[in-house]
Amino acid sequence: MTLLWLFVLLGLLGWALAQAVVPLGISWLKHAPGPLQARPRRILLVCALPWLIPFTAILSMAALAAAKSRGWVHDHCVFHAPGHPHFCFEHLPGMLLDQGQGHLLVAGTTLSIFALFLLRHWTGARRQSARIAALTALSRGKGLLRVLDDVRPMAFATGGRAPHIYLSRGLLDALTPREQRMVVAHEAAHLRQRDLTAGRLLETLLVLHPGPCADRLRELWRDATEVRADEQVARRFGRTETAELLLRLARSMQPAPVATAFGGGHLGLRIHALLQDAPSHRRRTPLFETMVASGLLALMIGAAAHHHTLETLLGMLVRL
Amino acid sequence: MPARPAIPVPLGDLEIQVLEYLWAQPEGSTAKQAHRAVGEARGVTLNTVQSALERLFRKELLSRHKQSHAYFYCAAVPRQTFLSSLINQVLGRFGGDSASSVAAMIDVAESLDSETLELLEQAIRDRRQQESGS
Repeated sequence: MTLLWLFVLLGLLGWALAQAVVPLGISWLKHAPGPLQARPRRILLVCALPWLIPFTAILSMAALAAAKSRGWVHDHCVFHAPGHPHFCFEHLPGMLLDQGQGHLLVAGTTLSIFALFLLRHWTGARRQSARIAALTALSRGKGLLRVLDDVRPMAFATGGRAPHIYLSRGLLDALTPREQRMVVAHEAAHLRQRDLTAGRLLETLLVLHPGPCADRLRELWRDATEVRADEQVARRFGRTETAELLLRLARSMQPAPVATAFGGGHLGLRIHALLQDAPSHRRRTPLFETMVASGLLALMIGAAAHHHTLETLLGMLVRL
Repeated sequence: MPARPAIPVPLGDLEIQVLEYLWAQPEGSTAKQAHRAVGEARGVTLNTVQSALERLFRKELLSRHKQSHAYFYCAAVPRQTFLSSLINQVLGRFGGDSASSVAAMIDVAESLDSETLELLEQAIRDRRQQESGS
């Protein structure tokens, strides 16, 4: 328990570092999104950084402390000035900061905020499950496909362990049987690619992201998974026909009262993607993933090598 | 524009069945009638159905008035309005919970302006011409 507050503070520092790294990751994903199949995985990886970076830093310090207590590395605790925070399982009780209970307050507040965010996420997920259960009960049909009595053109897939594809009556009335099959193929592609499960994981990972950053990542996620599902439909029904279907659906809705984003927002972007040539399925070097893994490894080694500086920094943080 | 009703959650299975029954009974229903229609098939008691009606009334989804000794319940929100509001919440619209676990191919919240629609249509026509030319 005596080491807990120090690890919590280290986690807080790691989270702050992640907040500087995540915008770089978002910028990379926007300008070089990479192969179609890899995009959602890369977005998840960026979303996981505020979890991975603190975890790596804590793991590194815990490994160092364990190595000291086992005699694998030189124990230099006795050379430290009194009151210097120290990642050491043996000597910490005698080296606690002489700063009252300030460190406990910082660590306690950090843990409480973290628990509060997790609780909010969990409550939101429960609310969403209840809504989906109610929606399924109010929809018509049996099995995977459910029809909603709504005149607006809508198609979506959602659900927990037993997901469903929901199509609105307005959409079905507006489409030919072939177009209906295309819509179902699109939603079925989401289920095959496990986009719904990954989406739930994404929302959990986003708990540690500030609002605007989380919104940008959600948008990237949505574009990546929708374009990938469109591509599955295009392979079976043709690229131009799929683009025409999307445009027809866009036309069946009320036109936007104001000009949409450059390129037409999400829907425009998807139609543009379909009008390009089919992406190649050549395997490429996972450069992005390698860079993230190298960064985490460098952090681990760097934190262990410069642990004294890190300890001093944590001490300053508490004194502040 | 009428106020968008908030859908209270969670709504249990029985509550939804009772609501469905009351939507089909525009003239309203007593607890006994609702029990005969919904409760008996589910094997629940009259008290359970009465509790469900009371909860729905407190959630402002039902209205009621007294006739002799019994309450007469009516749906306060039309089915269409309730369903639309529920769909909006599932899709995370109007500042609701984020919904990355919903994959929507087409969403009414995502409309394009007419100029963009024209440009996209032209791009599709060009592509069709290229395909027929090659």
